[in-house]
Amino acid sequence: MENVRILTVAELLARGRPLTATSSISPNSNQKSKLPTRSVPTHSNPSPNPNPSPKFLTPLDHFAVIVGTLALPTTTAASDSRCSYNTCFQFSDGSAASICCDILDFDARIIGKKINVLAWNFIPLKRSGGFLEIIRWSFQDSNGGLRPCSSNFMYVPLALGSSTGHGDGSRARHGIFGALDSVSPLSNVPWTAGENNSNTNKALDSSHSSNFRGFLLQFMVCECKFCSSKESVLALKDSVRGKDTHSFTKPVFVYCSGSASCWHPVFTKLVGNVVAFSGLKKKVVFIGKKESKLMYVTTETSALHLLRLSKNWLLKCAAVTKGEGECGTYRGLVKGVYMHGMVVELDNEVWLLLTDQLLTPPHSLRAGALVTVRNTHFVNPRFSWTRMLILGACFKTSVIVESFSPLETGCHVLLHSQSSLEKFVESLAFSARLWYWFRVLLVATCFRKKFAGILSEKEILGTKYVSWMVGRCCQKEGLVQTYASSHFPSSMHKTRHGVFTELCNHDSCVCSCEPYIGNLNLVVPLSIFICRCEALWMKAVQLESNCGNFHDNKKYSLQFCEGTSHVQSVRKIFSSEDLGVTLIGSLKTSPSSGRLQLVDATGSIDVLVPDLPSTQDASRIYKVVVDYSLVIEGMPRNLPFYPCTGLGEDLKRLESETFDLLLVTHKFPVLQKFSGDLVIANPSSMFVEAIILPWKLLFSGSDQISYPTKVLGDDPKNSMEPSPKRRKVDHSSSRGSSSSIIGTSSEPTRELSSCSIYMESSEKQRYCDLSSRKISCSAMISGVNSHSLGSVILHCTSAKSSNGGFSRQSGQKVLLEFTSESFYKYQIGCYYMAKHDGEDSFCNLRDSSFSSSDYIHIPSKTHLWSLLFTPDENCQNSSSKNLPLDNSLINDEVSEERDEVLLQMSPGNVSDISLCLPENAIGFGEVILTELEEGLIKPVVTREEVLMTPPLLSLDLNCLFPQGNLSSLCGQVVAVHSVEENSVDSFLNYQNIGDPLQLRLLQRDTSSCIHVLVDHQIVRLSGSWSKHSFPVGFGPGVDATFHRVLELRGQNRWMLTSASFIVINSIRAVCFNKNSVRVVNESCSDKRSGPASYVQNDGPLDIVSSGLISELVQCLDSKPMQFHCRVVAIHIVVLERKIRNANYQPTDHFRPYLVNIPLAGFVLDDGSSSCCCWANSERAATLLRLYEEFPVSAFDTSGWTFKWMRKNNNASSATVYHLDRILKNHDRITVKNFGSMFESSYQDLTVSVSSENALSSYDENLLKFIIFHACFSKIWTIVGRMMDSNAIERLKTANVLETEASVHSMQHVWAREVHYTSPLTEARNVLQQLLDG
Amino acid sequence: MEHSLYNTHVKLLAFDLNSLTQTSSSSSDPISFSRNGALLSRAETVGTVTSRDLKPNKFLRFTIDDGTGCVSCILWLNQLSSPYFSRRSPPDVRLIAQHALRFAAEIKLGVVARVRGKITSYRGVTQITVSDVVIERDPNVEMLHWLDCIRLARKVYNIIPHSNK
Repeated sequence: MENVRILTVAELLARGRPLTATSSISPNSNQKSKLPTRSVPTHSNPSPNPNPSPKFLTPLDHFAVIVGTLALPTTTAASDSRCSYNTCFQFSDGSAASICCDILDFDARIIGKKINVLAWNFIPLKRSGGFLEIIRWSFQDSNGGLRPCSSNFMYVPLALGSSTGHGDGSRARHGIFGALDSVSPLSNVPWTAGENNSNTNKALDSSHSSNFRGFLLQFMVCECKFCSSKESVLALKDSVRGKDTHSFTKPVFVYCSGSASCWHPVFTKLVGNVVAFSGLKKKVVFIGKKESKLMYVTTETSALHLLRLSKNWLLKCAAVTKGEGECGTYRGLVKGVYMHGMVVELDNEVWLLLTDQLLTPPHSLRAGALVTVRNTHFVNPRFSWTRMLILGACFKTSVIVESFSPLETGCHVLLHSQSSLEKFVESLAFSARLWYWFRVLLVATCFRKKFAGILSEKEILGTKYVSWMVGRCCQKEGLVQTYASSHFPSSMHKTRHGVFTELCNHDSCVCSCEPYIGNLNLVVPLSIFICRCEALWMKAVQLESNCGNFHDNKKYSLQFCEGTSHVQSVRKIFSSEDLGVTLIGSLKTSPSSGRLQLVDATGSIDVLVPDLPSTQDASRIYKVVVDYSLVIEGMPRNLPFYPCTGLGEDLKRLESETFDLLLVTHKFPVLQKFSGDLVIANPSSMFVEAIILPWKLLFSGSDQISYPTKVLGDDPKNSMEPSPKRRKVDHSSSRGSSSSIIGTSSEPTRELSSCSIYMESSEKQRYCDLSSRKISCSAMISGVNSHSLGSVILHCTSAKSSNGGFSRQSGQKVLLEFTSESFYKYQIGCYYMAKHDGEDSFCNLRDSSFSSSDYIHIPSKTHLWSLLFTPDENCQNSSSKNLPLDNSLINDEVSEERDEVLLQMSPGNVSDISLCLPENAIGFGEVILTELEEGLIKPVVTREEVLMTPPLLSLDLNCLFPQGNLSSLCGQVVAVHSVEENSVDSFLNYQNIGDPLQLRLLQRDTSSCIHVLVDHQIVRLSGSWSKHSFPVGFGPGVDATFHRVLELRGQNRWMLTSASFIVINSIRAVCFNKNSVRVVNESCSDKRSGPASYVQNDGPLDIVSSGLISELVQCLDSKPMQFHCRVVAIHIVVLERKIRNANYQPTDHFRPYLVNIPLAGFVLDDGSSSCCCWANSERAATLLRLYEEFPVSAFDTSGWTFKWMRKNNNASSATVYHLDRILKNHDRITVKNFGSMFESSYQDLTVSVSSENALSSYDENLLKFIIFHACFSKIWTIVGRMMDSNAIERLKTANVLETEASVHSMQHVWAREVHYTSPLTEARNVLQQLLDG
Repeated sequence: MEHSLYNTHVKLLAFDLNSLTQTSSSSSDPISFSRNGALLSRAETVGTVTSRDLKPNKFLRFTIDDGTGCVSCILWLNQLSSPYFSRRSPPDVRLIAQHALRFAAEIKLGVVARVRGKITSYRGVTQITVSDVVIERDPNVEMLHWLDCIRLARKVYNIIPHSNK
């Protein structure tokens, strides 16, 4: 110890650096020191850590001892500039002011004695200079100093100096012996002296009170005769002897005030120890006005009797922590300290929340320390999105550091200057506070991240003092508080009780019994949200691949088109309930993709907003108020959601104005150009085609505008207001017809509309003279803040008027160029109005005399309000929602699938303003159409209804390009895949491309094929659209309208052109269950052309060569080939029952059967070789000869007939009829051949059914008969493509096929076209071939 | 010996079929047929039924004349009694028998039939043991069959052995 250097506190403070001096620790130490020998946690903290990359404390290279005195904190509350807690031990060596310290091996004798601090950490603190962590120490003189009261006890008088104790010593004869259960925080309690007795009353609301600083101790005492004896101090010795027999069950409170209040740190150290307390007096304490409690109060003579061999009393903890708020002890390693020490992360996913300002975590609660949290509430929030345990600290909780952190992590000192947010939180009752605090913390942390750089810290957290409870006017709530309080039931705002009440009534009401608020939704930064969703997606995909049931789960979503398999990215849809995350952000158009996105500082996500208001503003912050669905499909992240918006202030401007009316007839896709490595959307090139209607809207302005609901201001926080009604698609009704779906989704708007005021009498308004070219009607603002705007006049300008109306008889078609931000607001088929302004471009246009399509640039400041024409009755009854015009947009037959509608876009139903038209002008659209009789437009299109409009953007269709009419098509998207030469390979290659240039080239060359179910038929749309051009959320399950697709003349094929525009009407959840597999596998289909053939009419584009099966080997380029062959055997046939729409009426060309064949494998032979031919649906049915007459004669000769055989009915004579009957009882039947693949009579057919009903032997025989019969056919002409090995592999994996070795060695072909061969034609072809040599 | 055509129903004209090389290593082994070095086991022929000899519940022997020669065919009708089918499930055997009966009924003198089956030999003469019969009503099928036979011979049957030798 020669090299021992004595350091002074002054020196440490002067250094001002974190230090550790543990090298002086020697094994011979007389103390039972616990040394921080723990290794530092090596695993990194996954959560964002404000204490990044902690270093170890700098060790001193020599022995350094500090000699000084450990003292209790001073009793006066405002003790100079020191730590504001006033509950820390103080260390002083005379060289400087005392500093806060903590000590590991606390010994009550240490207080006031001079000690050698042998091993220590020093952490500088800003305000109080520094903090000393005493790891090991020794008394400077050998004698400890405190006199023992017995062999086992140390006697420690509490009154060390001057006394401020109450009452006289004569009453201080009580003592208790028990286990110290908890210590309350130090607080100032207002006291009032009793009026007529000696009892001291404490009343929180007394005006004549004086504050006493103190804290409460809760002991658990034994109720045995020794302990309950009045002379308890005398009985102490006896008690000690029988210590182990005591059962400490009865709670007793001791109030330490006056000089004893400085003993708070000592008692904190003693929590869990069995101690004796003498020199107490009993008092009845009134808590508030009603409740009284008998408790002990310290006096001048109070003294502690500590057991020398301190034996910890094991607190009774719940053996199983349910996480419902029960009290217990938790011991763990501090991983991070956040929010000024109010949030402590312990271990993995355990969070300690110090919910009250009075709770003062020790300075030594640093990251890396080992702590024991006593009397904490275990709360398992059971979040869907994460696992975590919350430790809620209440007034009983004490945090004891058991081992100091060896890391150079800072101490956290609570600042008593609170932000308004903290004040607000403090005002809540415990459970609410816990939740609120927890939530606010997350929100605040998240908001800070989300809006970094967008909003200032003050805007986020709030600035001035806000007292929520007393209703004082708040200066400025932060975004966090606005958000959080809007999500908090008002019932949670309860009056706080004092420390006394909360501690005394702890078990009965304050903490444990309050219900914890469930269904917490979290706001997270988008980047984290995206990460989580991707993980969810991966998990879901993984899960499916693990259970490879036949068809029920598909690892690969495989699309067969023209014999080639196309890998479809797996599309998963998650509901907001599953995610439990609330989305907040601003709505902006991505500069790179041109798509609308929800944006925060951390990330962005593509969104599809069904009710995007025209008042949408990129500078505002929006919250998704109702359920949203998250669609994840491979890499692109699509997120459809409903926003909550404030609407109103903009419409104030509508008074006394004249407006032009527009009808949007088409939108053009965002033009994309390649810039560098990215596909860059040209934001200035967003075009909308519209027709200026020959009508003007005149707002009379004379009527008072009434606002039944409040109008939101411009403040961003207003947009955070929750919608008064959750808009949720009624799932039950969504299963019905789609018209009811539409109705439901727009309900809130209508409901609110019904409350508006009508300025004119109904009689007057009901009918109007249309010939006067003026229609008087009432207008109202729809949406959340519905109110009437009074009467308006629709004035027809088509006739030449003195007002200088439109220069032509009919409406004028214009091309509007929008800024990117406003582009998404305008919908095809919707009416809009724009201010009729002298300088407005619409007016300028009117005066100009352009001959054809006119072009108007709409600057961002110009606002167009959407307009909805509703019949007058509608306004009052709020019944029917749709005008005939709007109805035509809805495909009401698509809802064949029973999938849940997740998102219903409702074009034409979400509008800013509703115009209630008189009855005779109900068909306002018709009125307009009459006006536009010239044939210029048919504004709204239905499926397969050819839009007569000539292409606006001159497509310049010359002979080089495909020709046809531009039409609109509406249907349900079944599959989307890219079309490349060899799709599977390209897909795989695509994954590996790192070179952006290559990627770019690849993207450029990609064209897409969309399979759309229209009228129960699959229609194929193709075109050179890349994946990026599709609207957000587009994919299988989407009900979409394809505007301006080219119907190729005479080919019954559709092509996406550069002017085509896709509008999503609704999104359905398409899970890859057996039903959807049926649809997905429904390959390119078309109308059947013959009774026993299945032909695809897109042939002319491909030159199909005729060949032999043996030539397939050489035909590796996957070109489709035609060959003539016969079926030898079947490999497998899967038969399914088709789910049919109840409203569906079979048409002539469509067979009214329920049989669907998702997959069938046939062995074909053409004399040159055999191959395995895969087919589905109609092609498989054709090959199975299902549409041919059932060979009843076969049974006649055998004399063996089936009892169900019907011979008379023509319809039932087809083979498929019999299958139909069988499938009524069985969802799916699989027939597999385990026998010969080369000889029909040696097939060994095995029939299996999915349902529990066993197949009757009749049916089984019939099935086999049908299969055999299929093998005895004439020559088929099959157009097919050779399947690559990947496709076969995937087909096998997806369908759990065990192909026989014999099949495996064959060539595999996917049949695209199947029909009987015409012998004459084929003979000519073969002859020609032979002649050609 | 080339096996690539072994499991294929080769389309051979009657003269060709009747002149297949029959080889048998021993008396117990079944006779194997080859043409131009290629091992064959199944064949398909199209022609007019020129003879018909029915032994009820035993077999139907008939002749197909394709214009180049006559092919003897035998259609077994003894499935329900033959020990050859005893190992298979009775319903399946009944189904096969049922079909055979139907084929037998369809084979009438003068019809154009498409016949597939195994190439077998009876008393040294190549014949087809019929597995299925399709009655063709379009007279063009015969012409197509001739052309098909020529094409297949040119493109497949005549080429394969040479490429492997």
